[in-house]
Amino acid sequence: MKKLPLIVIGLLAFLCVIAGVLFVFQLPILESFSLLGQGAFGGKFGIARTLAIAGPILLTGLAVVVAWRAGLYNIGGEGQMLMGGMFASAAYAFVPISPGIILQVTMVLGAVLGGSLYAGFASWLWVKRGVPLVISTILLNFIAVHLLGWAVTGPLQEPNHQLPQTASLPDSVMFFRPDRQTDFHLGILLSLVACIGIAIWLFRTYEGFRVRVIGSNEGVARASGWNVARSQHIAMLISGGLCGLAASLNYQGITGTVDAGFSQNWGFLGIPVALVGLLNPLGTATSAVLFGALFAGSDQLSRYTPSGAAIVYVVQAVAVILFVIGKAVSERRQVAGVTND
Amino acid sequence: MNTSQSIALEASSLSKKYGSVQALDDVTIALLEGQIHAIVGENGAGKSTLVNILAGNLKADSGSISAPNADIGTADSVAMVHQHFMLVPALSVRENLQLSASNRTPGTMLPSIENEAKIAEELGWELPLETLIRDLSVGMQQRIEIVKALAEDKSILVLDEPTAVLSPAEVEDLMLRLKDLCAIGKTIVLIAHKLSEVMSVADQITVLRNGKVVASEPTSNVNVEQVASWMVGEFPSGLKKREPIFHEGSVVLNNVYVNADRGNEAVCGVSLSINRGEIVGIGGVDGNGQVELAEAVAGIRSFRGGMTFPGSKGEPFESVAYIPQDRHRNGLALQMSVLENLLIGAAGREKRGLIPLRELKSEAKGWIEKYDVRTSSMDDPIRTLSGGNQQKAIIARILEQKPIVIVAVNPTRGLDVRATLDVHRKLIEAAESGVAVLVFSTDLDELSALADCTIFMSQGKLRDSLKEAVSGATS
Amino acid sequence: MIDWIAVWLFSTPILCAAMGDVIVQRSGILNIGLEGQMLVGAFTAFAISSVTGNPWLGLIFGAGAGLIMALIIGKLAIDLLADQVVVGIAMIFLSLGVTAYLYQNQFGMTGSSAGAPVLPKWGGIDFVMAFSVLLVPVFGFLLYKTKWGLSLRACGEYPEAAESARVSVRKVRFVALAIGGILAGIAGAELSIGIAGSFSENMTQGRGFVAIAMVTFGRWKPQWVLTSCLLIGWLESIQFLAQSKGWDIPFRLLLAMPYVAALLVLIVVGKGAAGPEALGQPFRKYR
Repeated sequence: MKKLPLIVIGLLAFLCVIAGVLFVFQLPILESFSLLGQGAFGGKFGIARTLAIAGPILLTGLAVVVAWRAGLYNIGGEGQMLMGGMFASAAYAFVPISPGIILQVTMVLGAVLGGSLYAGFASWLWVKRGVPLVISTILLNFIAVHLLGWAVTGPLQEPNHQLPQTASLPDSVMFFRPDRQTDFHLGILLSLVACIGIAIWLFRTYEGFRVRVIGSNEGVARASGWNVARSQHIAMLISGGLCGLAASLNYQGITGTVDAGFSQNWGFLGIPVALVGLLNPLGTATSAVLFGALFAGSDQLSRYTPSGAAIVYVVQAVAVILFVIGKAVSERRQVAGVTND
Repeated sequence: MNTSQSIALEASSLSKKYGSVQALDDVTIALLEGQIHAIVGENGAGKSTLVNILAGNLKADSGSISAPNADIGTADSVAMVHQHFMLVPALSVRENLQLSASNRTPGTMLPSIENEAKIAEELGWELPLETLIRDLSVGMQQRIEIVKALAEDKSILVLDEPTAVLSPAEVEDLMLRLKDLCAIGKTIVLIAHKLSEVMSVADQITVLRNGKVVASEPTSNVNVEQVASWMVGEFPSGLKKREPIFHEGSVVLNNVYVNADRGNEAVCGVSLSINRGEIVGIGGVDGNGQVELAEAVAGIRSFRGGMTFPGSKGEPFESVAYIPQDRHRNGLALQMSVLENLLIGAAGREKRGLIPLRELKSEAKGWIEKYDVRTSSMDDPIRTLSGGNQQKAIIARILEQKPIVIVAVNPTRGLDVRATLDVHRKLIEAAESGVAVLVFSTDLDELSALADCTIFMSQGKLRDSLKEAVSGATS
Repeated sequence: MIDWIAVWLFSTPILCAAMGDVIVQRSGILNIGLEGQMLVGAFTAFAISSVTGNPWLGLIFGAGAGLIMALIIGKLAIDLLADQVVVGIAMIFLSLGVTAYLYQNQFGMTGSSAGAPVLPKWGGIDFVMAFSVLLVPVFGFLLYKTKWGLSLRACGEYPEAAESARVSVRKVRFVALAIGGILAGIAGAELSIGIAGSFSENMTQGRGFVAIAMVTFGRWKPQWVLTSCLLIGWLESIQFLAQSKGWDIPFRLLLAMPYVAALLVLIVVGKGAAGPEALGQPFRKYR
């Protein structure tokens, strides 16, 4: 647990960033903090709301971590989430099982499969055809939006054919909610399981270790005779699967329906979440809770100022820019260190 | 040759340090007008640093450069043809020439390249102006580089390793053109590895070793062997310190051909056998196919021909371990910890499942002691270690995989004496335990210390002696 | 059958941003932040136009806002050698937050539809529409006939070679980003005070990304980028047409076509010719 001081420092830095943004936006810092705190952690509603957002963004953040560790840019979290949602709702619509726990699990697996295949397609394009992942995932995001947009007005549209969305799920395939009044559902636990699983995979398994070595220096991996393409594929499949699971959490945990906008930018949000989490699973879990709290808290803040959600975006941006500057500075120092060797 | 020519450029007492590495140490050199001056030396001898200082691309820490006859600054009298061509592959020949002409001509529109065309014509070269650079042969690309440099109208032309990438016919043509250029008053500096070519054309030869000038003589006064020994050090003969005990089984290479990255043939028909328990050294100047051959034997580069390994079942390269020559590029994951870098070997190619971390950790602790890797903690990033300790970590990781075959390329480059000895000792111990070791090195002292038998390599082929290799006379 | 003015109108914001991005990508910079630059441009143009009542001032300030964003991106990506994609994403979030905050604070509402004076139109054509199309031959000329265009292309392909020809890669990339920023700002302005006459949160809705995709689809050549942007505009316009006429076509699938086509082009072309060689890589000058 040597990382603990780092996380504490990160937490303090994060609070400073929020304070800075509040100051620039001329909001009373202490009062705003107390409102944010109330919204995010005040009572069971606040905490449940925080966790319900933290779950999916933890997963999309982990997706970025896994891909990044393999030296890949997955900025296709949005598209992979949408595909996950589409596959899950297709599973609901077409798999001939009566609603119940089995169908619920089938839908979760469908979501994971959808995201995974979609990401796998992007990594296939990269490994086999040399199509840069940044470009292909951007394109695939659009294709997913339009494909889902078509599906929810076509084969997957709700029975009344009124709204561009899928049919509302019955409770039996939704994640169980211990308290019906709050947003907390058991699916959130899946994100925690995934987080621990990814941490173990990255740091305790041979495959994860190879992925990290490849991300750190492909040359070593090649000189050691490893199959770099295969490891990168695996990383992308896992990355996409995590985004698919995030979709399932949102779909089967909160919304109950899918439409073209249901990913709520959470696929993108994974990037700042992962960066602020210093690209490791534990840090990402911490930053997911922070961002989740910020989102949940900003609802409360918006009673005070009309700009609740806006502040969240700015905090994200500032956090990422600080990360970028910090990384640039430390890399410069490293380069100097190596040449002085 | 006329030796009473005037001095075109004179550098005195140049020194340059990169970090703690003394790249140039009190180098004095004079270029005579209208001469071809060859600068030879091994990789890392300081050749590139020297010419980059002469061309004004780098600043020396101390020392001075003067050009007695030039009324402009010294750097303005030197044009350079880089080893890695400064041509844009996706642009046409015309556009590349226009790009380099841009800063010499006023205006915002693309400049004309009449001047360049005239120069090419004078050299008897026809330039395919509308062809993209990436579609041209390396030889043609080099011609464009030379035309570019000549168009700058400088009195001194520096060519950095111009022959490394050319076919023998192209080399011959190039040398003739260089003589022509001298005849019209240009001074030419040639940096090179392949001695035979250089010796036949140069008027003056300067040998650099470890940043120092070892000798600077008119070519007519020296022979190839002499220059070679200046370059790589003395080759002590008859110094055998151990009697190798051969174990059963050997690595056999049968007529192996390997292509380089550019697609040209780098290794042409090498046949070789290495017994288990034996250390075979392959010497010769860099860039003659050594790295390509090493990578082929290590199983990370495709080849044609036969290769068999002792006691291999299934995956043929399973029992081969590779010590690459560039630690930072291919040897280490610099961001990761010492421990993790040690585990790279244990991670294997196809291993699955959980890493038995506790076991491996205690094992790694043992390695660190055994191989004397100096680090304050296994969890420190490996980049914080010195070069010698980094290399020892690589050696530890490689040897502890218990390979049957080890391939190493310049395993002690850039290490101090102590670390070099440590690495040598470990490789000899490995051989004694029955490993077949293939060491490529440009350092003859190293090979004489390590190898049971030394072969030389030049132009992709094996030769029996250094003389044969450097002259490249027989094939 | 085709309403050319509508096609032109719908493709203009994307075209204008994409033309700027041709220059930016050709210099070797992959600027994901284009989306954010457009959004900030849209808001600034709207705000200035509604406060001063002069849409021309709005246009100028919109362009200026895009420029300022470009300079921030340049500082981070060129001087600090930061990861271009990460910088771009930070810029997107920054612009989302800042525009939403300012809009809510200044105009006191969270939805859309506060009006602002719009750019005048002549026969259905406004300044930005004409300007954007005019950029195509101008940039074609700039890229292929001038020294600067040549050095720009060299910077994107092989910056070391450009630097050895005494071109300052840093300067070229900054200028390219500045041009891209100004045009992205104008493109955003066209959205708010050209087409909509109002501003709404996140009103660019991914058009910056579309522009990047169209640059890829158009193979980094101005005339082909124009063609692909017109294709997008056409698809968008028939969507509205069809809705009004009640046609039964899966438009959503149609809308996905340009992206599918762009992807196919990349797949077919494969390794090697997939755009400027040095795209997305920070240039570390040899010292």
